[in-house]
Amino acid sequence: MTAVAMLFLNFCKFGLLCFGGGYMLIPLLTAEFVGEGKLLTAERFGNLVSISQLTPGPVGINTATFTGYISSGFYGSLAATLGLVFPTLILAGAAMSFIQKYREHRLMKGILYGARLGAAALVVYAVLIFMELSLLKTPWQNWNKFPALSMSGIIIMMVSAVLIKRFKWQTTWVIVLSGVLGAILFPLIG
Amino acid sequence: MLKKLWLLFFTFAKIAALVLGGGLAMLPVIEETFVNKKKLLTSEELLDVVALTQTVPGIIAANAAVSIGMKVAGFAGALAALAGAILPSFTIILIIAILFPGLSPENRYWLGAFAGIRAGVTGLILVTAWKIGKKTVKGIFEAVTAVILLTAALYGVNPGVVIITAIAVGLIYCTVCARRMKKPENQVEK
Repeated sequence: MTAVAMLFLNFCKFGLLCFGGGYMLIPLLTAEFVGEGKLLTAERFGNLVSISQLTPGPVGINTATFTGYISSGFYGSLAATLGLVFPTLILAGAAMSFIQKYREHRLMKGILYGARLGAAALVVYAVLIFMELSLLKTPWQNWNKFPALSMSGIIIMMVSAVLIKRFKWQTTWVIVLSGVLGAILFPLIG
Repeated sequence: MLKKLWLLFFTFAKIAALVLGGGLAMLPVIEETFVNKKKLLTSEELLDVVALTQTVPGIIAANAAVSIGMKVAGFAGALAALAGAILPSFTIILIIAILFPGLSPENRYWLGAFAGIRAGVTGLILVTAWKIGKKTVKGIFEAVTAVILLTAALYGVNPGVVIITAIAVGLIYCTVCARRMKKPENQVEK
């Protein structure tokens, strides 16, 4: 029981510390759980992270559920997952109701004007990161060594963009089709 | 009310079950459901949510679920959306953890399908970014600021810092604008 309570508190702490999303969780978890005499070896943790990234769903939730299960079974996975999102519920909830309440205030208008510009820039940033992940065969390094392009990645990205923009498909079906195309194209042409 | 809670739960469950990679990958599905179809959010409010999710600590998917849930249906909405965002990942990972304790998914069709979904999501988020860009960047000042912020993010500046800088810029810009707008009124009074 104490082990489960400790997991909850530990993951609450991780939830408070990870700024900028679930990927920040990995160094935090490494420090706490990976190494000699600790819960996981480096290799097992590496596998756990790659499965969490390959499986649908938020990477942070996946990693927390997995680590919690290995640590203390079902209740461990529950404690870790709930712990991770508990601070979010309080903080993001409070921040949103604050924005709602002062929406018409002059200063809040300035804040939102700036925040929206920053958010738009970060969305473009996310597009570039996703392009690196799906269109290049190896991670980006510099302009001199341009990595090989993945033909399947380029085709699927373009098909998906056209289906959603021109033909107004639902996102669900675009994602399902992308998965099917990927299972056919990637083994064939890479 | 119950209908809204169900919509929040179901939409975030769908996002968590389908969307690979987490974070901003879920933006297109959120836009489709809450902005285009149900009209519960405007596209400006969606950007507020993006800014908030990147600034408040915690994983992005949970931050987005809580802030959108809060906006649409208060605290109960936040809980419903958060439960939806957690449940599919929790279940899928639990099954994997129980079935494959050795942890090594090596099937090229399976890996191909996941790579395909990632490429498809790249196409979706590209279209979303295009729409957001058109709405947000209306003049030279916005364009220059957004490009500077994007470059900072590409050079590894934490997303939270990007948003906070953008907020500072927004506050300064709006104070200067407000002063400029007030001046003629004062002169008339004289």
